[in-house]
Amino acid sequence: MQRYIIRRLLLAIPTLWLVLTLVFVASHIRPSFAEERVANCNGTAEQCKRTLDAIKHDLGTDKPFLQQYVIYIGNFLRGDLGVSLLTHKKVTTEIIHRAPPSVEMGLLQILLSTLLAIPVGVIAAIKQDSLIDYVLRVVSIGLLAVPVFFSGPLLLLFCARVLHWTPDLNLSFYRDLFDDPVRNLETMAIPVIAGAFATSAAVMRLLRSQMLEVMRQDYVRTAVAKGLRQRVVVIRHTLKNAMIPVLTIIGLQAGVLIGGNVILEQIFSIPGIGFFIITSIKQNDTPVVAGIALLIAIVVVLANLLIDLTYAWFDPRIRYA
Amino acid sequence: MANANMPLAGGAATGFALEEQVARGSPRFQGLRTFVFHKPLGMFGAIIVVILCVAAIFGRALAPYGPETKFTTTVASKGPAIDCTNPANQFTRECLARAQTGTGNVAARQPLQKAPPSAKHWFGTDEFGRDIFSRIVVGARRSMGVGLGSLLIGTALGVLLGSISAYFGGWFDSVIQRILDALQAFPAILFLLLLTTAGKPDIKVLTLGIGIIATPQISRIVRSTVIQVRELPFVEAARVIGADDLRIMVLHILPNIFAPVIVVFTIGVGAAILAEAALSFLGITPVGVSWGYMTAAGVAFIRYAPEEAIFGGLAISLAVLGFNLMGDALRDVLDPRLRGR
Repeated sequence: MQRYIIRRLLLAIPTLWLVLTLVFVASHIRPSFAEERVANCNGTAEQCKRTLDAIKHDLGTDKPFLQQYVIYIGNFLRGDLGVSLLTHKKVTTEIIHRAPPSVEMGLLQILLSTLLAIPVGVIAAIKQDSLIDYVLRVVSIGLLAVPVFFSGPLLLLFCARVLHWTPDLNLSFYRDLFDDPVRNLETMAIPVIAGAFATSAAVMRLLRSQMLEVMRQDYVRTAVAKGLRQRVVVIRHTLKNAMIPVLTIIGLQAGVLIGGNVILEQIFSIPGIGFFIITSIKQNDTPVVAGIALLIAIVVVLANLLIDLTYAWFDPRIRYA
Repeated sequence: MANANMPLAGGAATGFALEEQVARGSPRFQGLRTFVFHKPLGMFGAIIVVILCVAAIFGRALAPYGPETKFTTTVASKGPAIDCTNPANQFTRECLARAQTGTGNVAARQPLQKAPPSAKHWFGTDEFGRDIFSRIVVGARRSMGVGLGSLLIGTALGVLLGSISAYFGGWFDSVIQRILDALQAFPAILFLLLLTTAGKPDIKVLTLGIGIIATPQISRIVRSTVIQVRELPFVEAARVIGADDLRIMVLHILPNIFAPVIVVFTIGVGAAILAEAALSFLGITPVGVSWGYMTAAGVAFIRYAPEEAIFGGLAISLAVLGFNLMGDALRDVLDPRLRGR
């Protein structure tokens, strides 16, 4: 087991390095902030060029590509993700400041989607090929196809017409969970439900197929032959073993925790990281965009690592693969 | 020439026309028959896909009006019995229209804004008076173009990388897989946002970007299939009689990866359509009609005139649904072992 852990940890490092490089390259393809600033220059060509050079020198973008790359990696190892070109505050500070709403929304979504998917998946598996199984499968295929920016507004419409209640969509309406829980949950209710629908459909389908596979196994047949009640067979024997790949999917949603909810945050005016990244992109604030992208990618890599380790702990056959 | 009454061995061509072979129950078309007759959901999906293709190719000719044609109307000077001073009625269609022309004294030509579905405009009109049905039909081209184009790129890259990396194995394989893992760790939307400019997004860059995102998944499937296939006896036999690596790959291995690749391709087009729609919803889309952008515009007044948002979103959902259903059915038909993946 230890060898597997060490090997897995070692493999994560080159992946992280590759991600860093990808972000660096991508952020240099983007339009240059300095050049856009200077685009509206009013002076002579000479003056404009001098301003451009001065800005570039300040930002450090006039150094050769490789040197910038080395500086970038060095800064990253020290925890410095750069400074926002617009607010001149550290990128890390900005991110931490805006993280709570996104993290909260992400956690609620994961919770809700798991709570929805597990019972539904189990029922669909137990009553395979019955009417209820068919209905559940069709519904989940439908939910998979509906984009988040459609289900969110549809829920909004439903609340407005049927429940005669709408959340306030002003950006300033948002309150943190600990400041004003009611308002906070009021703002987050619809986006959380909309986001949970899509992922719960995927989890439910996987759980169902895994359960079906496990139920064909000999040890389940033994359990039934022993005379155990259906509930015990299903929960203690089948579900536990079927959950392992499902945990993978649930864990992969970790990226959502930080910034994956870009669209929902835009629609429902939740001042989280997703919202922040859109405004930064529209204003070409490249260090912020790169910093957030990097952070999310790192979270995903770490989540994958954790999932692999958990997987190996649960299923000893994996350790020797 | 084989006798018409002899059982057809291995689906070999026996001089009968293709249609006859299908009708007679030739083993060669077993899969197609299973798909058509035993997978109703898959057929439904396939029909949707065909409709989308027709709309994408012939959209402008089929749409009743042009996508940019703005319609106008006169507003009745004697308004209906709605009290527009009541703030609760402020945003109903009639009061909005009346607010445009003043207190209903003069009949004026003004944009047929946000009209509800009617005989003339099946899906209603948007905020500029443009017919929504026509815009949806013409918008199919953007979604299908980006969806299919990006998946073609992704499949080409994925098959190339996956098969080469699996066939040769060793450290080469590990390195390529590491790179693809890193690429997959990157959240897709962010990757696309990084690639595209807020101001002038280019459709080719967008298609290429989505294609690159699709590559790791496809290469993974290709790789696992190639690893299985390369151990089969006929590959060894080919090597023994002196076939070189390229010949083996092209003639023996590639034909056996068609089935899983087609399944992943079909489902991938659905995901690509979603990605393009998400980006254009956020406003990052080249000039032209796009379903995501229509949905975004419609969401702004979803409470009072939901047609644009509803039909835009419905178009996207149906397109993705069609590809997903078709892909699921293809997977069941082509290789039951892939079920549940």
